[in-house]
Amino acid sequence: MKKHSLALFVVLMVSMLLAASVSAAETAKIRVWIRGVNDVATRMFEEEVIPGFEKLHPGVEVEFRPLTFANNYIEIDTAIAAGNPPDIMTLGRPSALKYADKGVLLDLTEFVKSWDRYDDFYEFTWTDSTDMNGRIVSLPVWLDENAFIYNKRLFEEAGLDPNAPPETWEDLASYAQKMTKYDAQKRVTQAGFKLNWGDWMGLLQSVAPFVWQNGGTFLDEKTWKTATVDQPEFVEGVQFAVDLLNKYKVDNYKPWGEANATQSWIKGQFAMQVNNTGVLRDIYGFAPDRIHEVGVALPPGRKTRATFVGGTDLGVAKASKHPELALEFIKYLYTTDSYLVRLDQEIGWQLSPLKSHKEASVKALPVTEVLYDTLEYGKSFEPIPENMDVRKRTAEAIEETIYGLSTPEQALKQAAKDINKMLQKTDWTKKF
Amino acid sequence: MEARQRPLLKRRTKEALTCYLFLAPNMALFVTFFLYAIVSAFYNSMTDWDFINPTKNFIGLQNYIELFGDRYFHIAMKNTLWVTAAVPIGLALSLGIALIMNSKLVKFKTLFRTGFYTPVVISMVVWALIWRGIYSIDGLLNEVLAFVGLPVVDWLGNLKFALPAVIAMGTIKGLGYNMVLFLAGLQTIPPHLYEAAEIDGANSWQQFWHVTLPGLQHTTFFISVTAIIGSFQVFDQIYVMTGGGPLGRTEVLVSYLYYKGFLSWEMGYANAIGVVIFMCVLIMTLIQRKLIPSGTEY
Repeated sequence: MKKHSLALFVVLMVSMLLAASVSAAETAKIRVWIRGVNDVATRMFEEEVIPGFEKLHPGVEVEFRPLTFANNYIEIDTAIAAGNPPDIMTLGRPSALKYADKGVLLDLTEFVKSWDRYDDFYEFTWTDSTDMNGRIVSLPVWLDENAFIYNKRLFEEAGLDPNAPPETWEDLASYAQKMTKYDAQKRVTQAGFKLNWGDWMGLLQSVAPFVWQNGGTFLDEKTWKTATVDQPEFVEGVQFAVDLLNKYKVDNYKPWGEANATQSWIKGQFAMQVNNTGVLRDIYGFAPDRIHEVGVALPPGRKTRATFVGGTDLGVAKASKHPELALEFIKYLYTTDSYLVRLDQEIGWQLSPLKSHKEASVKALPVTEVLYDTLEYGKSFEPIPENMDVRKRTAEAIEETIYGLSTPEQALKQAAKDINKMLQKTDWTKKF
Repeated sequence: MEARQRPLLKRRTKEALTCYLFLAPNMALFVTFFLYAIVSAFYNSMTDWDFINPTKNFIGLQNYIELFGDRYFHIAMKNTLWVTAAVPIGLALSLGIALIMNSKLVKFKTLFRTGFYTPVVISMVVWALIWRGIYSIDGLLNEVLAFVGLPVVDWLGNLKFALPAVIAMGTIKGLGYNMVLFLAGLQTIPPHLYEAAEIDGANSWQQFWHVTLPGLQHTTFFISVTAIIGSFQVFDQIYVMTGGGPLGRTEVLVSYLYYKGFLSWEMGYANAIGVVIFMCVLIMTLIQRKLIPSGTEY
């Protein structure tokens, strides 16, 4: 009896193992982790994109995982550190190069260049996705252009033309002062121009456009090896941003924990701001009766016009067991036009990196037309893995000037020294 | 004789085995999640591990050498020591409240105790968010100041006030917990000591100084050790309220460790910061053990 039971047990175990191995051989699984997707976008993936792809590729299983912007990196980093990264992951546009530098991402150059969609991407989008060796390491999936958002009602109340947003720095300063209101304690109750504070990144995204508009750059854009934050154009741009706060007093400086911009707009707490399109989406969502008060334009300029364009890229893990399937999935996502346009809109009215999507996107959300038309003025981070460190040190120097601890010249001179010292440690031979 | 000893030995071995068996689950957890973590942190602190790649090249004391020349580390250390320096204030306040709660003069004791203890059961993140609102430029605190005609302050955005504001918030949160421990300590002091002191003519202050405080020696030691360890672990409130700003004025060792390890991918360096925190806590605890004489029981 015992012998029989043992034999039966062995046969059962062997059959289970065989069944498991046959099933594993038949099913290939790819894991897709996408950040910032809301319920609608998640449903779109789960009910349309993935079933559609799986139908086209029998035996392939796609495991989808929605991540928030807050937990995206910690989840991805932990998975990478554990040697089990997702096959496809979303990365902030400047961060992709950092991951590529660590050898995490698959070189997509060959795939992208042989893809018939290659020419459909806005040319400038490849700058952020290409490393110093000229390898394309990620694919832009949505672009986040900072728009100049203003309140037409407050313009009218201040006697300004609601259809004529400021074109120059002088206009901006003058309009902002006209629309700023204070309480008895001299606190700003209505900011004429709200700088998008919150953290050092927010500070930088607010100040960088002024620098670019003045012809300044963070690094020497020919070599990317030398800091240029101490150059006069850069210093002047920072000085203007600091003047808005300290001289014209059009906003209170808040270094952390910025109140929700959408709520502030709805409450009429600021007249003008440069912010991402997610704010626009929220205003339209939460205050549909106030849409007529929203004005959208390109930020004012000086020597040139410029604004910040960030966004999200898709990266494919080098450790992926099925890289060819991961690339197929990406093709599917981009090729089925409606998915990407809808995804871009659901994420926060982001812009599509594909030129051919503009028409459908604008048709769905007319307010995005001005953003598409001004994409050519978009600037982003430097194409080196250290770009975040460069910007963090620069943001620190800007904050020092806001607090009056030093002049922009002094603070940025020291920042340039520190950045150059940091870049000296970089192994440039590896990158070129 | 031998025949008698054998069963005794056997029984002792059996008892020891039973003890170890009962201890085994806890020991397994301790070894896996504490001992191994501590030992590996020491090793990792001497490597160039970046967290993303498994490669760990041994670089000796390089991280420590860099650490002591790192001005951001100096700022974080200085701020952490300020948090530690505020521990006695929290202790004194908790003791004061416990004494009041223990006296016969106060009515509605349960209500007050609940009130003081409530912040303890609130998560630090929620507590910090509430206080971020209170400290805001148009928050409750400034509204009160404006009402009484005092100037308003951007508490968390001000270079001078940001750290004290965060410390005050943490101190208020910890008051209830320490108060309960002090209350328990106060109730262990034998009443006859007070009676004897009274007969000897000791006034209230002398009773407090010569009876209450010595009677609370062990409680005070426990609270101060845990509070000092806690002061080196401050992170949640910084992460939620200030992000280390303005200009690094609230950056503490753990928030800097987090930045270096998880955002800057310098895990070896972050481990070195962790080891420094460990050493600081160890030294502080040893000093306290020396300062507070042990062995006297009341």
